[in-house]
Amino acid sequence: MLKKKSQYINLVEGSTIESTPGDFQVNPQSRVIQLSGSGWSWVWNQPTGVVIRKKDQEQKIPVINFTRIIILLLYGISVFLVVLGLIKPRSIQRGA
Amino acid sequence: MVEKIEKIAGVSRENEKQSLEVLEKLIGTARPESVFSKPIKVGDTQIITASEIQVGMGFGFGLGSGPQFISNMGDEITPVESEETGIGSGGVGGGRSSGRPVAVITISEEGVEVEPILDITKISLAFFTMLGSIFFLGAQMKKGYK
Repeated sequence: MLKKKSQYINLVEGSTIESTPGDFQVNPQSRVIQLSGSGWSWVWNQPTGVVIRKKDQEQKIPVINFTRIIILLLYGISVFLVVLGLIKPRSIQRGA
Repeated sequence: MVEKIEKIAGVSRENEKQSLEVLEKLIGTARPESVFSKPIKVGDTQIITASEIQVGMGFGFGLGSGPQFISNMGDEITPVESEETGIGSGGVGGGRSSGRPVAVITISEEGVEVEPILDITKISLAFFTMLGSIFFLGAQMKKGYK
């Protein structure tokens, strides 16, 4: 993944501090991918996890985007099957 | 004619400036606070929703002018600058934004829980697309064996 900031690509990781009841603090974290050029810009902002701080202890709970993982898997299988469908019959015809 | 061009160019520059201001506001969505909602308190429990946001926008402007050409006898073409010189300008822009909840963060005195949210509609669409590709593969294989 690109990690440097340039004119066209910007990766930002940040967090917000939330006050909570009890003796612990919750910091939700997010990641921003920003692509921009002359006259256009695209921003993708997604949550990455939650950092819990209790006294001196710190724990991070990741926020996993299961929907995107499942969708990417299904569409990836679809693309693979379509490509296979375009390639395989030609090889069968050549063999026959 | 030069005044006309300058006037149209001024309007085009103004439109471009306004579009850049809209783009600046778009970049404002690139903040951590944009994806996390404000905590909702239910008794001793706080609930925060985490969402995924995508925003895209683009625009373009153009300006052109040209003198009127008069063709003489034969193959010679002589450009003549007159009041009938054509000037034109235009602009186009578009954008798209989408947001979807990803998880719910529940904060209580017992601890913090992160519960993922599944978008059944999008998963179903992807599943039916995969089914379609399976049928396509079957049809292609059947055609290949003939």
